[in-house]
Amino acid sequence: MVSYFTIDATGENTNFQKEISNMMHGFGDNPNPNAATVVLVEDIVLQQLRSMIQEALNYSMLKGTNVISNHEIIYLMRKNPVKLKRLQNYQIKMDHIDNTRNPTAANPSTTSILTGIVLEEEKESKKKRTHIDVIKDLDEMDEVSLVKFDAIDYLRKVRAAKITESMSFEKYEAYHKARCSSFRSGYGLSKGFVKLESWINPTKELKITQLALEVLCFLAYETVAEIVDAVFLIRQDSKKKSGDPFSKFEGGYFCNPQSLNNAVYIKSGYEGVPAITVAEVREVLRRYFTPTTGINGLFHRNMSNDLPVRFIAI
Amino acid sequence: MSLPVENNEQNENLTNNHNNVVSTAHQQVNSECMISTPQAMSHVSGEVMLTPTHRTFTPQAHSANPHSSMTAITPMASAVSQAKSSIKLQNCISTVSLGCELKLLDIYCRTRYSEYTPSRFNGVVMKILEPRTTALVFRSGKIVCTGAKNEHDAYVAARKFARIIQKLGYPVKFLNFKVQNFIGTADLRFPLRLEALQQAHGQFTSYEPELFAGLVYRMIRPRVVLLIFVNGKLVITGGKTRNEIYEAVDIIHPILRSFKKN
Repeated sequence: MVSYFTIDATGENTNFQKEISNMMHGFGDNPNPNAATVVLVEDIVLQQLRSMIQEALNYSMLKGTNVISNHEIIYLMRKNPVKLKRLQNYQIKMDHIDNTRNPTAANPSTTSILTGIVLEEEKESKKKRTHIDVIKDLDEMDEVSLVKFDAIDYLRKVRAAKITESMSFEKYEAYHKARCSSFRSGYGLSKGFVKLESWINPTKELKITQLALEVLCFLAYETVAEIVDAVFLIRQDSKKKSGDPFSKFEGGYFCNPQSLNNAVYIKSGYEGVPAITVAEVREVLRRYFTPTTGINGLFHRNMSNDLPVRFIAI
Repeated sequence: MSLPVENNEQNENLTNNHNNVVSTAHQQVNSECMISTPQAMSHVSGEVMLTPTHRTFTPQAHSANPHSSMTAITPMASAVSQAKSSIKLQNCISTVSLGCELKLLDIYCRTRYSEYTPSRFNGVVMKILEPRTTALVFRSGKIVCTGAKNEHDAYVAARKFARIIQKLGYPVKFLNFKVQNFIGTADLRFPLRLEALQQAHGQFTSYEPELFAGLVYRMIRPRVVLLIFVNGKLVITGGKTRNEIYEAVDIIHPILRSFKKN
């Protein structure tokens, strides 16, 4: 597969094709995503992550260190309060899952008891996540707290619920497995970032902290999600006939007329969703990287920034 | 075993004189049974019936089998009670205070099956085999005891840990023993559609398959956390008593039944 993003040949040995194809399935693509599309999406994600690291490194140089921490990565996201909010929720959920799974510090009440028992200094564990603190630090206008409702996240969940509505149990099981994939290596809570690190930083020339990798992992996942979301929007557009004033009420060809009321742009019949093609992903990128597109939906927010946006996930 | 045989022999000796049909007590009972049921009589007695040419004969019951008139009333286990009976307590976490300062290094050096790595964790990790539990012993004299299967085991284990430390020469008391957390598992035996559950109960649930395969359901009353999985298995944590876990399953079962995946 020849793509526009074949800048690097270093990270060849590790790839996330299986994970990405699962993720696309999870976001509503066909159960068997087009292989060429998966390769293209993988290239995009890798290129996005590497340029994020590049930027982050510049900032950390300004600070006088060589280590890329989560502060630098979150600094890149500072202009998008919605994403910051989502990252904040991400940390809350992760912490909560960690607490529930860890039997000795099981629930909030026990942790509070434990903190009472365990003397002050020993509760400061190293693996504590600090994304929320960093976000608070960067968010001077308190914009993140004003974001009450994450519409895109909500729509993704509604879409997943719609998709699974009429699925048989076998298909649902496969779908659930597909949704469980992420950019972490391994399964369960001890998921590490070894694979992700060897993917984005194969020569280990950069020092990236675990927390930074966690944010990068979040951003990589978001990138795939944004691409798939945008493909669905494009499909909706592509059905419109120019000159027909009512065409905009018809929705996309994968759209169920009933579900239009709920503004969910996917048919419950799921099976009928054609696999995302390379051309569609390219169209998404073209719209993302062209600053002057129409003021509708997903692409509108990119216009409000003066600088051309370079990161899909941010 | 030997007694009945003797009896038989005695009986044989007694009855041999009379005739050979009623030979032993055991056989006697058998033959009585045969005679008492009419249909057994009807075709066993007639030799004709047993000949190969009459194989098509099917024994007709003269009177209805008394068993057929009885309707089998097996105790109907409702789905809820089935789910409740599948609850298994897996872990019971308790705390107790010994009421004195402890020298951890000293304890570590003088006990078996204990670990102490101050760089990683500021407590001695101690294990006993019966009941198989692990204790975290802190300098303040507080003990967290995990791994017990029920509250009684947790209590016994905590006593044993206290006793071990007492034997090392500390003025140990046994204060404020409390079960802090029960962890139980249950099986609903039907698959679930977590997406739908998440849509309907958004304020209680968090379901991010990318982070964790199960749905986390925070129940308000009783205050427990349930991890709900696609295959219908549950993990219930955070209950302070055994009852809270049963109560939680009672409450969640009808909810989950409406999100059954078929």
